[in-house]
Amino acid sequence: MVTLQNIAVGVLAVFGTAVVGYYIVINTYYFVLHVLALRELGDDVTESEWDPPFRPFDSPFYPGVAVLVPAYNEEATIVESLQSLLTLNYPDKEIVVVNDGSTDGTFELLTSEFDLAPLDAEIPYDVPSEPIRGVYRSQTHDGLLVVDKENGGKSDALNAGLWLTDQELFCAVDSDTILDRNALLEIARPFLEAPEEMIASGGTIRVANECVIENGQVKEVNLPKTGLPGLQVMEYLRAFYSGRLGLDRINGLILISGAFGVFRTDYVREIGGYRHDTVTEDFDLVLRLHRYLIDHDIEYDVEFMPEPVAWTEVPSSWRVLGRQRRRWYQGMIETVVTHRDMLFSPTYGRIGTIILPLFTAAETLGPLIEGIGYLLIPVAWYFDVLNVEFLFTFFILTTGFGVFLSWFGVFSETWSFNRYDDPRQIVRLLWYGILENFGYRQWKTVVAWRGLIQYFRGEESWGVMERSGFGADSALSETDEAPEDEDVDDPVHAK
Amino acid sequence: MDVVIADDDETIRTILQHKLSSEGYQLSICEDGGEVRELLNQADIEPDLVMLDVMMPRVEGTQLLREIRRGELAVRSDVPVVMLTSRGREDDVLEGLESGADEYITKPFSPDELLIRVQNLLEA
Amino acid sequence: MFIPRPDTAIVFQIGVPRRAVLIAALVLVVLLSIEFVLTTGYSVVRYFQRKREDRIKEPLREELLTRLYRPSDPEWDHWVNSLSKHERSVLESLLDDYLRELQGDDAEQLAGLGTALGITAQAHRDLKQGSYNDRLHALTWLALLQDAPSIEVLKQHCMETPRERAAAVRVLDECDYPEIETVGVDLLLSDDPDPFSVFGVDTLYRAAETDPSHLFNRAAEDFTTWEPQLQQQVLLACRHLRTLLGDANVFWLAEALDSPAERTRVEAAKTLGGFDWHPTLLKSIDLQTLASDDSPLVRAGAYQMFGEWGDESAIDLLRFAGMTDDNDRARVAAARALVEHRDEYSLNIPAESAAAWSWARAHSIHDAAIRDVSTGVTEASGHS
Repeated sequence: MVTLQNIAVGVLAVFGTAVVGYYIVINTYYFVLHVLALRELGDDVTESEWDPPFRPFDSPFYPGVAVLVPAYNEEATIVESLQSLLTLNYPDKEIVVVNDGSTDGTFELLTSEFDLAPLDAEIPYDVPSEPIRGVYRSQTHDGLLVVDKENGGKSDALNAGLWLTDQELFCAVDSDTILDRNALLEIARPFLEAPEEMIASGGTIRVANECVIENGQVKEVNLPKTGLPGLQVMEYLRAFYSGRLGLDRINGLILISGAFGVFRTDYVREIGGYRHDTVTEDFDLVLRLHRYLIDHDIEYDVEFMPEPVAWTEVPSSWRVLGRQRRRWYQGMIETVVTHRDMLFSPTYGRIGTIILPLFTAAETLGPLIEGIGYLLIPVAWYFDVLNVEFLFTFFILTTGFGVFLSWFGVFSETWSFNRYDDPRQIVRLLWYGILENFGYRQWKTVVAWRGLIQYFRGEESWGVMERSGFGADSALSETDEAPEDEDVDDPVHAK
Repeated sequence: MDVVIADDDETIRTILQHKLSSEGYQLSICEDGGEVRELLNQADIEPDLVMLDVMMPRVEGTQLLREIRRGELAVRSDVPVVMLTSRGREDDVLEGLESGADEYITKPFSPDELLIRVQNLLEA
Repeated sequence: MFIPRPDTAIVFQIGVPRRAVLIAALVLVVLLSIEFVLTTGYSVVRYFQRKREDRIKEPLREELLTRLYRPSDPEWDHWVNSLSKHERSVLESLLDDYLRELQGDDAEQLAGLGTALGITAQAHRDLKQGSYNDRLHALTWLALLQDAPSIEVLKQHCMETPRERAAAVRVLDECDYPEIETVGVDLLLSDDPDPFSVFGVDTLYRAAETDPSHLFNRAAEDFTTWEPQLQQQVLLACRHLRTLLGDANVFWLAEALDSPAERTRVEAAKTLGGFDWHPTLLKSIDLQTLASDDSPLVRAGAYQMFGEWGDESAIDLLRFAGMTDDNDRARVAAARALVEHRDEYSLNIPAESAAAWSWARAHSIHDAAIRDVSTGVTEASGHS
């Protein structure tokens, strides 16, 4: 006789098993990705050691890069940021700052600090953005273009810059991101090797909190003093040194940071530029690029470069971080749903059949299922539906294996570029690797659920953006990139 | 003879330091554009020659050169300026000379040749 | 709230065998321990390595420069023999740094240090016996040390990939090999070559710089056999070759304008911009057809070409075809080309191209202003 109790018990048991089973699959995916990443890292290190007597500044063949800087209410940081971008080490670059209708003194500061003069001309292109009020060039700094326009959000600002540049490559950065001086040289390398096929190249984002920054350059690499930014350091290491590298190895790089990525201008214009209706506009862009190139049967390549680094401040309060991650998670759902026809579709090759489904399973569904697991499995154990060993298995698979993967990320970093060169920093990182999985991870599942609810409620993920600065704002997960610090008082830059 | 040198590359700085100081020049060496601009903006600064790298952090050499020639800095606007750069192509050389440089030396360079050109400039 | 546990009348229980869990836990602990040891161990080792390097680097640098610039013989061998293995390794990297910046007598002197350290000999050995990566590094060193291996060695051992070929020819270029414009170009373009990297294109350009005739003659023969990307790269390299061509074959450039590949036509058009000194070649080009090519990219390239020629018929084409082009970027390209001649001809710009014209003109004015070094320019000036 089947009683209600039995049904409930049955349901619990099935769910419990399903969750554990799911986690075995996901963890296998992550493990494989990490191992592949390590091999790719080895190849990348070998590759970076090849240093022919080739003088980039002496070669007319180096591709030109336009650095697009969308700026909204950035008066605290814009000048220093621009000064650092203007002296980036790169033969042929242009800096395009797009003032997205700032309501503070951003534009006035730009005008006075960089001696801007208006370009007495109409815009000859049909720029798909909010109205442009004026275009300016600096009278003292060659290669600086400033676009002043009505507010339209980050994607809109990027598009304005994108349409007004003639450079063959562009690099979208956030206005408070700090690039290493040679970052452009490094991130352009894939385009040097395969100038025709290379469509996009992504760099690494690292946490700037507590780093000593002088004149727009990171002079000393330190770990944040407090826990939350420290956890994020750990997260980023894993996301980039295992996640992205692993995906790169199997030609499945579907994610390039909006905070630091270089793209072919012509192709991005061809697909209509950035999309407005998502906060993960970079994720969406890369998927659309893949889609376009596969649809049109164009041979292409997308690479991830672990060495060039862009530094950014991360939130140090749970509230701010939570809000941000919710938005990203929601954005990720939106993007995946928009491109759902790519899932399991052989038309899109490996990306469609394997990468995107696994990525979705791990990054989108993963946290949700894990969240259910944290609820269900202890309950199931309490009701003796699952034995205590089951409970332990669940925790080994999530938390335990999580620590393993986190530490794998730290190892990768230490073995390759070793920017955290003090062993004490490494030990601290390993500690954060443990902490990350006891508390932070679980909290992220709650964030994911809230993000999901926000998604179903139809709340616009990207709306909030316009009232605060841009920062670096895209979905962060196993394979994602940098967040922003929405706090108005920025302790590092307010010097 | 006072010579101001600015280059962000330690290798270049050390070469210039050894070569020029062994010839008896008094050197003021800066590591980036901002530093050399501050130096050249001091009231009592009177170098006999300024040597600038083109690609430097904070302020680029070409911009500094323009500022000097336009009289925007304390140092006299006709001070002999030697540009040191990796940009060796004809257009770059022409642009450099048009921007007001007296000499334009491309890397890799021969320090002996540099010395000869510097001596010529200083004698003029 | 107390939730009563049901009694033991449960239908079933799913359980993981205890042993499995224990094994999993054990595996995890072992893996974590290995990771911990490897990570921290590696970090510690690198830390002390770096500290040691920092300690010995500056004295070595001082000594290197002192020896290099002293009037007497630097006595590299004597010095190197007194150094430890680590010191030699740091010295090698210093040598690399300095060789990249120096030329002339100083570079020759330093090359002696390379010999003393055994780098030169090792590099020559690696070319013949080393792995692919060894050979690449050897080629870099030999280029820096200006010690070219023989052509035979290069042909035999260093032709495996386009990158390696480019590195090999680069060595010849750095060592001022006398026949590089023929031998070097041939090495790069023989045996059904693949498209180059940017390094490769640059090497081709440098190899052909002193006398591009051989490159042009070769292109005349092989152009149609090359894949489009390679065609475009050769055209690009040719665009920057300014030295006189004498009587080399240039007609393949005009033929390239008829290529089915869009980008080949674009590159051909842009390159032909520098050939207005060759009237026969120019006559063989049908300008009208070019200016009405289907692809806006090709038309833009053509406008650039007309702009560089700058004669009256070219300017006319720019005014009538270029400024009325229906593609906005092509129009701007025409405007840019035309703007450079605005003082030579009286130009009546059609109203529909006003935006493109004003854009090109404003940029041109700014370009000139920023390069102007006469005093008083930085006051905000009106732009008429």
